[in-house]
Amino acid sequence: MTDKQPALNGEQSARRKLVRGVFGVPAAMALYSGSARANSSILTCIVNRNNTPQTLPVVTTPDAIYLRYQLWAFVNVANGTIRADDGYWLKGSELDAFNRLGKTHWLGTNWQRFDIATNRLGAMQSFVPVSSAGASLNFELRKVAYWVALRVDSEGRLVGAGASGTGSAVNASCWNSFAMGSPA
Amino acid sequence: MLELLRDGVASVTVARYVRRPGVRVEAVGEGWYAYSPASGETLRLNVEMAAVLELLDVGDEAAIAGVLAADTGLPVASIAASLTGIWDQLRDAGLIQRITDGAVPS
Repeated sequence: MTDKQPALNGEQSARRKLVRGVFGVPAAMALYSGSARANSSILTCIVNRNNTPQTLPVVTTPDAIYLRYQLWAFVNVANGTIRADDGYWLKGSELDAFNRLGKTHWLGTNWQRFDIATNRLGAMQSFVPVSSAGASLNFELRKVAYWVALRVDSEGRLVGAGASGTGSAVNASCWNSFAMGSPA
Repeated sequence: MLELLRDGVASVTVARYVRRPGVRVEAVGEGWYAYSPASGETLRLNVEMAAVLELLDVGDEAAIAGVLAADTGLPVASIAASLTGIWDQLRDAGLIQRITDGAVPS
């Protein structure tokens, strides 16, 4: 009988393998860096994409396969209609998930208006958008069924949306790699 | 580690760690291997490091050193010295994250 506790989660116990009278310096050696390979793949794909930059249109269906962002807008809570006069918006903090290797996106913690007709960014502001309808409770800022392509430069930094900014929209496996390759 | 003076009394912040969500540690043959979804890395661990990861639930660094000292019959101080510096390595590898129990009088 031993007083050693079982390993966590039912794993084989390393404690039971310790030799009495011996304790070496704990060591961990990286065998394989999945993130490094992912980063390499990402960089190759976005460099190629930036050699022939592309712009993608605003879409209204959620099934398009490219790196994109779902816009915010003011919605009439009674009937679900969008108050277009108050514009469509990107929220900077939501783009943080795409920051890679210390390369932060262009929007920071700001909000930025987006013109779905011209597919271009508008004014940026530091505060949460408010409806021109005033203090009415009829309108709420919600995600709406408009998706805009995000633009990425050759180093992997988000630099714009729609047809605004440098860089390029990225699609197919390229945007999929972004989700996997972002280090904590 | 000495971190602050509160009401003129020196206090020590106890460093304590937990595994990051999704971390897996498996024994394969005579070795141990850990995978971190945060870093995307797989690491080979020696038995001492694997034992440390097993013991995160017992408490802070001192508590872990105490258990390992009891297991091996070695002085706590020598175990504690061996553990110095491994926390940053484990954290950088995405295997653990720090929690703080708060300050206790030294």
